[in-house]
Amino acid sequence: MKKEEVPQDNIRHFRTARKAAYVVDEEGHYTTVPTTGWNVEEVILYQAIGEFEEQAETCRQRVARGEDSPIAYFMFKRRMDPTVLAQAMGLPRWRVRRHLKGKVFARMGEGLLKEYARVLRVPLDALTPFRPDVLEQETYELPPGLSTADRQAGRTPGPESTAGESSRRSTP
Amino acid sequence: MKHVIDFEHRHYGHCESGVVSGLLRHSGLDLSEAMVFGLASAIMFAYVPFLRMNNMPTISYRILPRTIISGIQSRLGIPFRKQTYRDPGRAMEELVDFMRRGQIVGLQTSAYWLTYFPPEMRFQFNVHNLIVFGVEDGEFLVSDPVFEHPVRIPATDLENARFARGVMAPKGFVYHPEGVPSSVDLPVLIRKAIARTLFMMLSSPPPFGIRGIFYLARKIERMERSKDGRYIRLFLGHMVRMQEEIGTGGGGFRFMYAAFLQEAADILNSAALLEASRKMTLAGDQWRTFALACARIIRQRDGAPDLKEIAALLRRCGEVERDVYVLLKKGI
Repeated sequence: MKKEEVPQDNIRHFRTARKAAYVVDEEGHYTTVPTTGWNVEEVILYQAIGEFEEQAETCRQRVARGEDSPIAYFMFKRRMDPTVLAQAMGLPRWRVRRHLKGKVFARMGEGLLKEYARVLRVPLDALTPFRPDVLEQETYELPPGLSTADRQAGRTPGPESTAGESSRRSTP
Repeated sequence: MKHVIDFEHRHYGHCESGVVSGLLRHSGLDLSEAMVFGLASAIMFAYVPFLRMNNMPTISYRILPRTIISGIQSRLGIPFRKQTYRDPGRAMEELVDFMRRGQIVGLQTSAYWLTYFPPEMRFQFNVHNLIVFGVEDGEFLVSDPVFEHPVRIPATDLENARFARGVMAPKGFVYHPEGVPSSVDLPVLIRKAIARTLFMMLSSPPPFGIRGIFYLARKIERMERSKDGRYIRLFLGHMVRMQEEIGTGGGGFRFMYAAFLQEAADILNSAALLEASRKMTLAGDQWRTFALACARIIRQRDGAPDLKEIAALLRRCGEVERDVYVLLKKGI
């Protein structure tokens, strides 16, 4: 890849971040240049996110009908699958798979529920009764791309920002 | 409480090689990221169908996580102090201790809980590496190699990230080099490293190395019969994510390795290596073409994807790359 061929597509999820790409400069020497992303990366990332979101949404409806357990919903929301969740819980996968069923969930003990709540980092009272909206109130989120340099300059990257580089970038 | 160590942040293509390069530079041994990557013989191709995550097989363009650290350790003979913890509280206390003593450290973390990441990019990916170089007001100062500037992260978030559980859980893994040699015999080490890479890429049985690429191409062709369009699109997307998104410097590390070969050519004064570097760049370009074709198929959303074309492109990647290694084998 030559230096002038590096894609600078301002892709959505990078926000103010830039990645380093290895490129060949005019004299044929290797160097790195910051890039605002490649469209291909945007396509594949939103494909992966869309897959999780779709699963979570189907699951939410199934939970409402009592077919799935709320644990399954939060699992997809946390971008996990049964294998990852089982390893995080330290349980065999078949047990975790059972716990994803609505009927089994209704009979689960408090100790196990607490552990699921801890691993999925949701409050226990969001599991029973099921409150899917709890994730929308999460507070650990920092403003995207808020780096030290931004902070020192008192800038908050985002659509309302007016300062240089960050205002140029599109935010979803 | 404030302990900030004077450390110059640099922007790198990949997390693990970037962290190792940063740590060594801070200890007085200046090796570029590409040199670290090459010396650790880190370039690879692996397709492991039975190791699945999120219903997708493992596809990797590099060697296993943590092996860049151990590779540098054994090849350069630099002892690394490495530690994991059971108790998160103790791990965080010791991290502050490191800062108090003026020792920067590398950490293994989960990308999902790193709050300075754009939310869309947070996946359950447990092998992200970063450098901590200070602590101030309950926040840690982080030099994340794949970010342009140093960032800050609250202690609780960092603790979450260090003690995320699941596949390849970091368990608070912390590491730093303990003393570096004043000089290293680069020409000898480069030859050894390249020889190891040649062995891994050319002589590994499928599904590893060059044969792995051809094996996967055949698999993709056969998917037409057994899998639906939705799965195929997810599979191709997954493959390209491993190639482009997980901080590879582009082209699934191929450009980074080409940079290493170029540096090596300078040091060894070898025309063959320079030619290999140029060809490796072409291999990287070929991988980018492959990624672009995959993205086009994903964007179509429906209809039967042309897997013949994809498989042919993948084979082309394998062929171009094989030429590089064959050339290297003669030249070294």
